[in-house]
Order: sequence, then structure tokens, then C-alpha cells
Amino acid sequence: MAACSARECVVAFLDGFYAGDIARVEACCDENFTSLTHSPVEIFPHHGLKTGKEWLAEAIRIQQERFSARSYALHFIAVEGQRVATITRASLTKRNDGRVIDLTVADFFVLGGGLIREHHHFLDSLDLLQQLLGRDLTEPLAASVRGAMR
Amino acid sequence: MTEHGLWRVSRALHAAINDGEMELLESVLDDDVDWAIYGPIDMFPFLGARRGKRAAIDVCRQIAKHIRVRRFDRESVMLGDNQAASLVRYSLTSTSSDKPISVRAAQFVQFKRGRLSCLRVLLDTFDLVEQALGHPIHLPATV
Repeated sequence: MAACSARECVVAFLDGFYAGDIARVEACCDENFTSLTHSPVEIFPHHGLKTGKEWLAEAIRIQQERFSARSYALHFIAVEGQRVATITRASLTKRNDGRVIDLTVADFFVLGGGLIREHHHFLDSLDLLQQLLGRDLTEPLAASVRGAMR
Repeated sequence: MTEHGLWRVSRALHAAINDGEMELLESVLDDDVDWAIYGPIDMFPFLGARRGKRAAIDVCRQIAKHIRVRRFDRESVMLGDNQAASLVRYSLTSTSSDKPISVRAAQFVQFKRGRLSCLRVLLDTFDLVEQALGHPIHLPATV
């Protein structure tokens, strides 16, 4: 990828990821790229720590298999040198029932030599799970949690 | 060299939640602060969106009734012009049960004229709910 600012590189990465443009996404990342999604891997086995650029194509393939449309809106971006953090609102349309999943996502990037080396992906996995299942899990648990916190 | 606003806000929140000391928080908040901690408000009424200094202080009072911060580790931090982001691992204690709770939070802040004008916090509430309940949430094997 031609030399660009950390901000431009991260925006190109996000644009490419949601467009399903593997070549563009890979061009934004270092050979030793690592990605860590903070969520329970026993429920989301494709989350957790992944290493190498080849994971990017796999991640896009998994999402494209499950979702017929994917888009995002950038709500917040903070930049300090070679470190960038974003809040995005991701919108994913499920293939099996057409329902749209809306998620607020935080991403933290560390760049080196103009390319992304580390990616930390952070989301509310309970919110994701409820939307994927199409079921409110919080209602039956709410009374117990409120009791436990009282 | 002027201290970044993130550190002042961090100290003010710590004093508000652990000591019930709201004066410092009042001094760092913009009057029209746009405040949101994402999560299920039916379980945790202090989550959700608030607007304005009074509402933000009120919600910190609510948080202070429920938890104490024992320690926190910033796993990642970036300090931009008039904004900052950090990924923080908190060790908390429930004030009612003395139960330890560990939660990771992604925090984003924006400043206007040196005061906090926007706060966004993302939590993984799956983890939080399981710890509050004291047992795992029963779910399908994989999603």
C-alpha cells in the first residue's frame, strides 16, 4: 500500500473489510498481523486470537457466508501517532432470515511502517448473541442480576 | 506541558465512584456532556445514554452505590487532540456482596474547551452478567 497516514490506513482497512475487498484489506496490514477479538470463543469459535494476514480473507469469507449485506458507519476515531482507535456501527443482514444486526464495535489498531500490525476488536458479545438468536436473553436474567447487584 | 484531559477525567471518575466525591467530576464535565455506556439497562440501570452534567453526575452516584474500583490496567491508550481512547481492564467489587467483578471496557472521550463533552463506553456485558449472576449463561453450543 502506498504510504499514507495511520488514520487513512485504518479507514481503508474498514472500508475494504466491509466491502469484502480482500486485496485492499491485506494491503493495509503487515505480514505479522495479529487480530484479537475479545469475546467468549466457546460461543464464537472464530473469535479470539488470530495471526497472519491469511486470517483476513477467512474472516471476510465467514461474514459473507452468514450475512448478505454488510456495512459500517464510523462514529469516532482517535489517533496518536501509529495508534488508532475507532467506534463503528456495523450493520449486518443475516442470510437465513433477513434480519439486520446492528452492533456498536470498538477497534484498536497499532501500526508499524504504515501498516496495521495489531488489531483488537471489542464488542458486547451478549448483544451480538441476542441479535443472532433473535431472542431477548436479558429479560429472564434481569431480575437475578439486579438482585445480585443490590 | 499541559496534562491530557483523559487523566483528569479518569481521576475525577475514580473519586466519584470510590469516594462519592463529585466536585472534581463537576469541574471536568461540559454542561451539555453527551454520555453513553452501552449495555442492557434493564439489568444495569446505570448503563445507557445521558445528556448534560447533572444527569452524568447522577449516574455516577448510581454507579457508586453498586461498585468500587479496586484496580484498573490500561491495556491500550491513545491520546489525540481533544480526544482519547483506551482499552481498560477493571477489577471491581460489588458493594452489596463484596464479590469481585472483572470487566474490560473500551472508553472513548472527546473534549470541548478542556472539558469532557462526549463519553462512550463499550462493555462486554456477557462477561459482566455471568459474574453478577455467579454462574454461566446457558446458551446454544456455538453461534
